[in-house]
Amino acid sequence: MYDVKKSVDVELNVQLVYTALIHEYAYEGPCRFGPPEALTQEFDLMNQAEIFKMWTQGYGGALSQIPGIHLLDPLYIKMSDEFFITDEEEQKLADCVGKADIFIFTGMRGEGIMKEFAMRYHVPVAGEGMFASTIEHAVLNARGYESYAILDLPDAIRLLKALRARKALQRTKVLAVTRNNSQYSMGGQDAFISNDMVTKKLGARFNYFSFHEFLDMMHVNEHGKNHTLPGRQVYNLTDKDMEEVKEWSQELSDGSAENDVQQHYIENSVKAAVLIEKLCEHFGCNAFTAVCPDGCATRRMNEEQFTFCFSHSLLNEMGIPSGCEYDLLGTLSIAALANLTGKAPYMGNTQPCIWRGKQVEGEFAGIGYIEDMDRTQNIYYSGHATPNRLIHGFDTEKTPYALRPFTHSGWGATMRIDFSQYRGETITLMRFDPLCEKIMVAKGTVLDGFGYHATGCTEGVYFEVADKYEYFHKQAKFGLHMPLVFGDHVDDVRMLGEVLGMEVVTA
Amino acid sequence: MRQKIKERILRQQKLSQNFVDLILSQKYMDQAEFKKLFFAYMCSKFSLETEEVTTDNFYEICQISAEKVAKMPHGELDAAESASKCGGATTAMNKKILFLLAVNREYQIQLDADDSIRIDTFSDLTDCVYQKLIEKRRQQDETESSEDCYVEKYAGN
Repeated sequence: MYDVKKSVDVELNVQLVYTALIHEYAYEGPCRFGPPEALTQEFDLMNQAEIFKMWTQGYGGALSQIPGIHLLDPLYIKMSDEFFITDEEEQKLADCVGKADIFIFTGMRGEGIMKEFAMRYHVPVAGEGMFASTIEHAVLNARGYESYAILDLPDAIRLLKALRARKALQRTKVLAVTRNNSQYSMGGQDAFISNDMVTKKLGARFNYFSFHEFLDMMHVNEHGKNHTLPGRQVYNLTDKDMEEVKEWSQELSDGSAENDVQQHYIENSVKAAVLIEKLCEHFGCNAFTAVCPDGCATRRMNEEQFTFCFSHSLLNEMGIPSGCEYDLLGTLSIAALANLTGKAPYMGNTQPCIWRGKQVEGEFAGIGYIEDMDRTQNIYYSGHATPNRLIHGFDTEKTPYALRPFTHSGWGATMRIDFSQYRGETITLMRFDPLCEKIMVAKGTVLDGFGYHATGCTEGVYFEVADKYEYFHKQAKFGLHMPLVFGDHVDDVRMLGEVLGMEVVTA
Repeated sequence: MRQKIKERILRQQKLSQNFVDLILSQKYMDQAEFKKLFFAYMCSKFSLETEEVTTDNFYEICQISAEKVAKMPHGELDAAESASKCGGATTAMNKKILFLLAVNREYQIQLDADDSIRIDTFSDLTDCVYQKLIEKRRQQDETESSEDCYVEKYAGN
């Protein structure tokens, strides 16, 4: 196992800040009323300490239970009814700049403190509770500072998950195995218009790598002998790597419900996955994509007798976003969805089904007639031979699977999941647009599966959408591959759009 | 009506003051005995019968009291009993603080914000108040003893 710094392990550091209003005198007035004893400084000192305790234990306690959220020691900032804080109190806040990813403020009349802090230090802030959330966001948003309003605990959790996903994208570096150019592949023309713009907007980076060098490195113990890098001691698989390959392959073959792939062909595919991990460790990458038809046309995959399909399945399960066909856009969409939902996305060609009678167009994709076609027109499918066993969640039990060859010749191991068992379940699909300005998110209901018993790329899921034509025309501005996970995460993606400053298109 | 309210409040105040007097009049009292009397004091302050206190959680006790008080006819409340401030404090929390302030005043001790946040249960409260009273008594004894020495010294001259 190589040490890949996975984006799914990124933690969001959250700083809770309570501004405690301690009145210096007992008095009543237009913003203050109550029995005399409840107006004293002594009362406020106790009252504010109690609220701070309740807030940090209750609210903070709930937030700290969310995977990937790291709560820093909450801050208690004292403010008198002169409504300013001393330098010493401000220093407590300043000391956390650079450590915290978000400052969540609450406390009566602390809006001004929050505003000054956000404007002085340019850090993301959020207001929680009455009336801080509404006031603060209106104030800072209008001035161009990053701020959020939090309604309740579910809203806070949604925000923090989105911020964590953003941070994870900023920590994402894709090992991009290309053949001809770094921008797009033959099979993935619907790419980002500018990868540099993506780095500017999302923070994600790309480590471009030659397809031919990659394939040479699959040759065991041939360091220095690679045709593409003669004399250079590089990262070819070693005997030790092969031990892992064999062990992992055996485990996968033993664990399958059905297996039509010969063991040495499984090993050929697993070799690619191990090499990807090895290169990710070396180059500091944590996501992967590689050309497909472009690589196929070199005939070298035919020589090496593997496809990348199995790698995509295995890597996505491990929390290493891995996309087909050099689809950098799709790969970052996988990274976003995985980090947002804690689930391993499955990405395939996502298209509406078109049929007349029982004659379905595009049967080359492995799709065909299903009974639901007599009931509704709003049927879509998503298919690629790259499903994984953790689409319900990284922490769930792995789904049963079969192993089938990709090719007629028998090589190219692929994982097959029978999606028909999930009929009725909700799925969420998402994809960035080529300008990296928008996110499309859609919801569907699983109807059936296809390709479980097949070979080739023909494996996938049929699902029902609200309106096929609306979905199609919206999707056509985003692209073909739409990563999906089980569950309804539309609101999560909406929040991601908010924190990324992107328009969210729903279907 | 107003007379009735006044009488109820005075009756409560008198009852709770009786417990204060009883506790403070004892030079030494073991903690179990103190807890019994202090519990009765708290019940009188909170308008609760002893059997209505079904938990040791002090916030819950305050909540039970707040709910009972809320059911009383309008106007039959001491304003402080229903104190509620904005800013996130619950009624139970405010009741707790008003109770602690009353303890400070009536027992002449100093429970502060740090003590307050450490008190989650009635047992915590009892322990804290008991220790403060012991400390107060010790300081009084020291003062008295140094005064005695002073008197003895000058009486000898």
